[in-house]
Amino acid sequence: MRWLAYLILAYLVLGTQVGLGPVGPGPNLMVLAAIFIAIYAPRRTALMGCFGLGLMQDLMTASPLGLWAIAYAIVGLLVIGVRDMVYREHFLTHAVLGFLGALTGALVLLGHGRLYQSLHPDWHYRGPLAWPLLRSAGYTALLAPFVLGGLRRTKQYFGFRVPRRGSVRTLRRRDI
Amino acid sequence: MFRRVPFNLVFALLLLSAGLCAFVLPQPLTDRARGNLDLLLSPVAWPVWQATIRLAAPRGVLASTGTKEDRDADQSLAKIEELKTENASLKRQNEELNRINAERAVLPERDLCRAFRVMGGDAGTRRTLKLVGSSFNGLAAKMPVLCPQGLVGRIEIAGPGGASVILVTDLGFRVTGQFWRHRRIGQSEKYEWVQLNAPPIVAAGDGKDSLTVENLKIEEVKAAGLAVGDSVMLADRDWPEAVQRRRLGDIERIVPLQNERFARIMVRPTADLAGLKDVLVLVNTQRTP
Repeated sequence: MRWLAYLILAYLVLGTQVGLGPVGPGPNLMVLAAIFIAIYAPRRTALMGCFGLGLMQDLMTASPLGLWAIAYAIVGLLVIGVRDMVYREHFLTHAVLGFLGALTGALVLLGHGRLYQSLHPDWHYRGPLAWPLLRSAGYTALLAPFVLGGLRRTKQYFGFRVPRRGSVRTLRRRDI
Repeated sequence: MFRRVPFNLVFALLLLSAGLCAFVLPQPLTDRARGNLDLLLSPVAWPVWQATIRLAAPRGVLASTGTKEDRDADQSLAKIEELKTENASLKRQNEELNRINAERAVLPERDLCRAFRVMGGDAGTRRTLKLVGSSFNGLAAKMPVLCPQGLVGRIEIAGPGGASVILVTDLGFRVTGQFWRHRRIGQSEKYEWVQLNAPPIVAAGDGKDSLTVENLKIEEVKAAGLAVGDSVMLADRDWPEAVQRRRLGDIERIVPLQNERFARIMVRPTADLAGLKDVLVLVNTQRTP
């Protein structure tokens, strides 16, 4: 993967996410970027890419550091697990993955909220509410076909390496 | 050498480190890494935020800001001049000046505050605003943030590359305050602020657009005569003297809690905090007006 293209994507998506931030929980554009990377990039690159996107988002939120990195790493693992079983280019796949990705992130955040409060009772952070996160997952699913469909057209700039089937040597060398 | 390290081990260590930071380590410790990249995103975030305001405001998603009120005031004055009702105009202007003078007595001195532009909000789920300003502009953590209508929040993180404000409506944000009422003096057309006879309250952000008060018994609410429209003013020793008695919001609704002994009072800020284009930061918290 060309990391410059990855960084430009992260910059644009994160900037847009910050710009939309004050309105409240809206569509999670970063999870869509993570899904895009996880769908097309080789396994190792995809996992590091998703983790990196989460870490960048962590730097732009007031939530504890590392939270979104974990969430997007899990999203990456899930998408990598199912990507060979689904039709990657179909808009329904994008919508379902968008919803499940945002929902996975929401579950991580909710679980963290409960645990963090019990570990640090004196800190004012109480974790997010469930309903806005569910609404955000819905928005993300609605937007996913458009965003992922648009990103699909730019995948040539990312230089994703697709392994040739049946070549074990290729599979080993090209970090599948 | 690094080629021999299994990827799964590296990835597991990364996840473990992130888990330690997110779950175990106290947040103030990890916050040091933050607030240093915010301004880098302003070329993208600020235009998106401006477009969002323009698209959302007419649909009522965001309330009007001070700029619109200024325009309305100008239009009103122009209409008065057109109608050539000089006496009424002079009277209104006089009242307006009196009101501004009264507000000035409560407001901190102007040189204590600096205005900063808002460029966006939290990339996650928190209720925050990101400012086009940094520690180079004198911003530091815990500085109070104001708008003409009242208290906005507090600077949470400020670094060389940016600063973010936690809004009073963020979930778990807590301040103490007092109830006040803006009432007419006798039969005259003048108004005054009166503190209501209610115990000090704890207002907590509800994570949406309001604050809730749940530490008053229903009898205390009735005894104080609290009603929709009464205001909550800041009365918190943890905040600088200059921002005491700044308005947090007005009572929107009073409902009994499930146990029916305590009341839940919903307080809505008078400005839409998420729709602010500019805010004032009390940069000199040592001086008092």
